[in-house]
Amino acid sequence: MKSSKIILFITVLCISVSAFAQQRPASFIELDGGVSLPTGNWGKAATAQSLMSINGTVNDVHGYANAGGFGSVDGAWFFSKHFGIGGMFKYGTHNLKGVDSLSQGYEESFDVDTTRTTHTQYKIWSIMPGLYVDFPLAKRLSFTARALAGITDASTPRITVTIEDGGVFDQPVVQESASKAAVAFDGGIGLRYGIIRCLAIALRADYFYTKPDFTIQNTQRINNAGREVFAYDQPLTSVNVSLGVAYQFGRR
Amino acid sequence: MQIVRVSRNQQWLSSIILLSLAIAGCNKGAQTVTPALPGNEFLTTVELQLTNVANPSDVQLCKSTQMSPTSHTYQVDSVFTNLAFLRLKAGSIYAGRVIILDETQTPVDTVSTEILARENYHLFFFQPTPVLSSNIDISDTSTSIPMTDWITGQPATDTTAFGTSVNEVLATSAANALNLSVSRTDHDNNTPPLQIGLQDNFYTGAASAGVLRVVLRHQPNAKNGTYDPGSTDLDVQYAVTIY
Repeated sequence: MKSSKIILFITVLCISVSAFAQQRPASFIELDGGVSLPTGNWGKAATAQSLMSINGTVNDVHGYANAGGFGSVDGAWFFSKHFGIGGMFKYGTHNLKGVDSLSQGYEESFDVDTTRTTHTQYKIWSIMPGLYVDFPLAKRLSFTARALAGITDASTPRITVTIEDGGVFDQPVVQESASKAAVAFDGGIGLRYGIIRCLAIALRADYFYTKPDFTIQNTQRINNAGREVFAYDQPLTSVNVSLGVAYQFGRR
Repeated sequence: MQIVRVSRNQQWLSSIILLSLAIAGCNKGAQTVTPALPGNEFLTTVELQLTNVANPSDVQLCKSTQMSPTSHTYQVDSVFTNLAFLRLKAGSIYAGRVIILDETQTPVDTVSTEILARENYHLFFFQPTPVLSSNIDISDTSTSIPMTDWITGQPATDTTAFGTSVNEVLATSAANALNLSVSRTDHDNNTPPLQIGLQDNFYTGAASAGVLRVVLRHQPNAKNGTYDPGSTDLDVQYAVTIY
């Protein structure tokens, strides 16, 4: 039963492709916005208990990256019925999650009354050329896919932990922001639907990977206690879901 | 005037570009405040245990406590000083230990072991008075308490053991100074290591009398050997007689 459904789907796909792929797909420029969902250690937060260190510092592999937003511009020119070359420029940010456990880890490590943690965001730029694929499924509907490789520039948040005990504010703990460029990869699939001749909307899901291996500076660290990260070498990976509007050239 | 005609397609393209500019995320900071955790222990009792290096049978133990000797309950506004005195032999070196207890617990909780575990941001200070101003040494290895933080102006009724006033004063001459000095002998795990003060050497000079004040400073991410950073965890006084 299941295999017959698969065969039927493939047959329909082939008929659709042969029926509607008599000409090259229109080149396009597309503007997307969407949600980026961090995966792996980058998207996880440690528990306060695991960050407690009273006689020496403790490393932390967690990135605390929360779901973020991004915007991108991409476009492609098709040199055959199904394949084209193109590229994408993307910028996204990720706020932090689990900051309370991070803050509490410092509070327990230093045995103080209150900690206040302030932070900025992860920022990620990327420019990625690559291969685009387009398979028409119906007159206005196409299945799209892309495989991109390029360069990204990512920066980590600056995290400042203010320590207060007995009404006295002590030296704040500061993890400085770090920036680094690295190779990045993006692979995704989606659907494009032409709403008028020159305009289409696109729904897409991508997997993004980069591994910048940040070297992190910590300033105002006077005593050896609590969380202290000198290097963050975990991959920054995410699943990106986007909705976009495409301007299709040559279709009037 | 020149009229620029814009096609419908160009209008769409312009709209898309404007929409994309609106997508860009804003860069805002965030703050999380984590309040105090419940369950901190009491520091009810501070003991000094001193052993004469030349004569190990000469062991002096003194105690300042907020546990009532009659009801055996914690008294938040009272200090019981009936055992808060030291009798030390002149011209001697005593190896000392500071022992901090929470006697509200059963069995009694030795808080000084936790202080030792948290050695990287705790530092003890020992101030004998009366002291000659020339003997006050303020440095990152000194145990002296800056005069700005001395106890002064307290009523004559505010005393430690033997009715000795808690007020700290300068000695007017060597003859009326308490001839006692203290140096810390233990070190923490900071880089470079800093002194702690749970273990110390007490050096006595000629026969004299006065008060020894012991202060524990809690200096989270601020401990640098000096007195000023941080806050005070405990502050007790003992009457001292050198004979």
